[in-house]
Amino acid sequence: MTNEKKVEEKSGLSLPKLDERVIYWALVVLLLLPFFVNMGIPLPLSPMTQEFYDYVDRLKPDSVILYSVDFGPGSLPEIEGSIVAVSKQIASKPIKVVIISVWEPTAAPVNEEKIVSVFKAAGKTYGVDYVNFGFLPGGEGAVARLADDFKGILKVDYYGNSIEDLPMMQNIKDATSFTMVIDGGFPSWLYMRQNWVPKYNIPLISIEAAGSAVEVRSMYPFSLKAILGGARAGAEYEVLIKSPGVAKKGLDSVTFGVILFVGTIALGNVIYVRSRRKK
Amino acid sequence: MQFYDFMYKGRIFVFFLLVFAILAVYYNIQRGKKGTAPKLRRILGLDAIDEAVGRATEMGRPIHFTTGYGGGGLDTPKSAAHLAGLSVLNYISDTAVKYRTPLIVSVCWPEEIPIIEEQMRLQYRKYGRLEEYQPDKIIRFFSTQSMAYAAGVMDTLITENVATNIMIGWFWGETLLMSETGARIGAIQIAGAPDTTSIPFFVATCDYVLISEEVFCAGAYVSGDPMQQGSLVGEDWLKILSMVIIAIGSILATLGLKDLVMSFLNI
Amino acid sequence: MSYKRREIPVVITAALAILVIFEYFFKWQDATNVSVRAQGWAVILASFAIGIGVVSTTIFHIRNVMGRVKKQWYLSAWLVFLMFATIIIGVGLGPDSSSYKWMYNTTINPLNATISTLLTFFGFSAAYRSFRARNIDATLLLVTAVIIILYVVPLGELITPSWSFVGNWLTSYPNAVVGRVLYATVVMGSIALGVRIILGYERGYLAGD
Repeated sequence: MTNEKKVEEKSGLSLPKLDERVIYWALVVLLLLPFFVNMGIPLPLSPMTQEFYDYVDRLKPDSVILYSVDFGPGSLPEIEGSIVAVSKQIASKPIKVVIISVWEPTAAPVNEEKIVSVFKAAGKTYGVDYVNFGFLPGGEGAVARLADDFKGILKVDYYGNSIEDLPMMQNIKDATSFTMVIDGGFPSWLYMRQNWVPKYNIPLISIEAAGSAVEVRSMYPFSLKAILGGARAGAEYEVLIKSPGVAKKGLDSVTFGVILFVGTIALGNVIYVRSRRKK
Repeated sequence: MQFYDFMYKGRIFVFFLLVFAILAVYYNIQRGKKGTAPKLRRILGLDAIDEAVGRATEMGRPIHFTTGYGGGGLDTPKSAAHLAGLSVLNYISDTAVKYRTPLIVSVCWPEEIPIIEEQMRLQYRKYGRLEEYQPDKIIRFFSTQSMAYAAGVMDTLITENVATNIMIGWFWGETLLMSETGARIGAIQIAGAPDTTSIPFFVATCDYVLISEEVFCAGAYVSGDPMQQGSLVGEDWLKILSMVIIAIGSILATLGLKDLVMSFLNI
Repeated sequence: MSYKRREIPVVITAALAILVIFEYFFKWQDATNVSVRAQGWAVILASFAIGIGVVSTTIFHIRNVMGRVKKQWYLSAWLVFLMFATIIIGVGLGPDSSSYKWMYNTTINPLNATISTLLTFFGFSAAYRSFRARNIDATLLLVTAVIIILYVVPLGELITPSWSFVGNWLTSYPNAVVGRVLYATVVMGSIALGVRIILGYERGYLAGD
């Protein structure tokens, strides 16, 4: 690498001497531009996003789903669109939802702000249509015990109400009481996959960040029935449920960032090839 | 009495695989004791540890080591990789204490602190310099949150101007922050992680990378202990058995006998 | 290490590991109860370890303050102040109190997001430095990376509709296969490490011999 740097500096077009801050400022401008100017970048629908949507859409009335979302504040810029869009679709259906986080302690306030607010806005009744249990400590062991004896491990909800006082929890005993698990976050999907799916054969679909989505793809379609991955999936979901949100603008922003990214790599390689020829 | 009265359905096949794994590892450990176990292939990243530590010693700059955040500490399934990293730290600390090379260990999970303290104390005692041992100067605990921990490591790398940065364990979003900082200050970097989310960032920024299972054999490899190295051969036997099962299952599934395969796996 | 210091921890570790493994496969309620209790102890021990971390951090930063380390001592003083303020408010008023939530929402959340954002910039400089077509392997890596990154955003399909097919194929076949293989090797490596620990051949977690 040292030799390459010396060669590049002699080539006359030595980008390494270019202050990286120029690229960073260009990135900042390009990332902010879509928030002020409507770009209107077309968005083809991915089959995986459609498949995720269909899984939720097929839920029968009065189904009970476990909505286990473990995204902290740091992940929100990428994943907020997906979480809110999926929550809106769930809230539009006559199904019952148990909200929980099992891995990330900072996810409980995020769920309260992004998910519970959607259910409230949709006119859902707490305790009848949805329940929020906040963060469940104990990691995979707790998730395993949750599957075997739900009320044995959860006594109160996020607000301190006894589980016995919540009408929709009366018939919840264990994993067999649930129709589906929607998981968000890595590695909580792993906890669900290893403890809820094989033993109880509960369908599991997952919302992931783009990087994690590539990794969990190896579990599709056996353990994971559908994956919603990254900012693009969130934007597509907003289009599907016909409720535009932050994800589309965020995706336009990411798209411009990718253009600069590919351009930077291309420029670096052009200089590299030129310098090798000169050498 | 039926079989499923005392064993869980769907776990029996896995149980026999585990029994095979334990027997294979134990048998090869015994082979290692006798010196008849096959030799391990070279792993460049682990061979480079000596070079990296030597570089830091010559330059008089510190070595930095960390096992990462990874989403969980020693009480989670991520503990295997963290323990593997601590095994490598045991080896590094021996050389560092011997040649008086400054060593800094960044910790994300505080349950590792007593283990590291004891490792370092034993090394200092081994070289008769227990009075020089100051754990607070070696071990830096930052936070159990990924980004706060990464910020602390980044600061440590820059302010301490480390010559060598070794990251072996389980990492998550903090990977690129730490490894890119190390690359910018010109440190020689050896990194290893079992998960696919970290490996690409390490490949892009580090000099040597241990991929997946190479992390778990790190302790056995660097120690040179023949019994531990024998256990790695046992692990390879398990891989060979898995490949055979996958091949048979793939052929049967292609022939339309997928249900037969699944019923066998779900015994 | 004396005999007792070496052998007793190994025996305890082995016994608990065998119990947890046994409980996973065999239906024996007593074993399940003990295993569940033991796993709970692990969580409690890990939580207690936070106290060790607090003490260690405090000592390190108090030393910086007392030694008036240049450009560092005031940051260390601020860190110690914030750490104990958070502990006092959290323990005294509870984590559900408005003060604690305010503190959390105005400091930790934005700081987490800020550090996460650095990843973008670091990704640029790392990619610029390392994504060079130096040889065939590097070129293949570069081309694949560009295909995938354009597949993740709509750009690829704007160039040609076939882009989604290629991207989908790459993520569904080579990526999925390698992901499963790596996952399997991680599991096997963990098993081998676990067996070494149970049999007492792996002493790294006991601070070596």
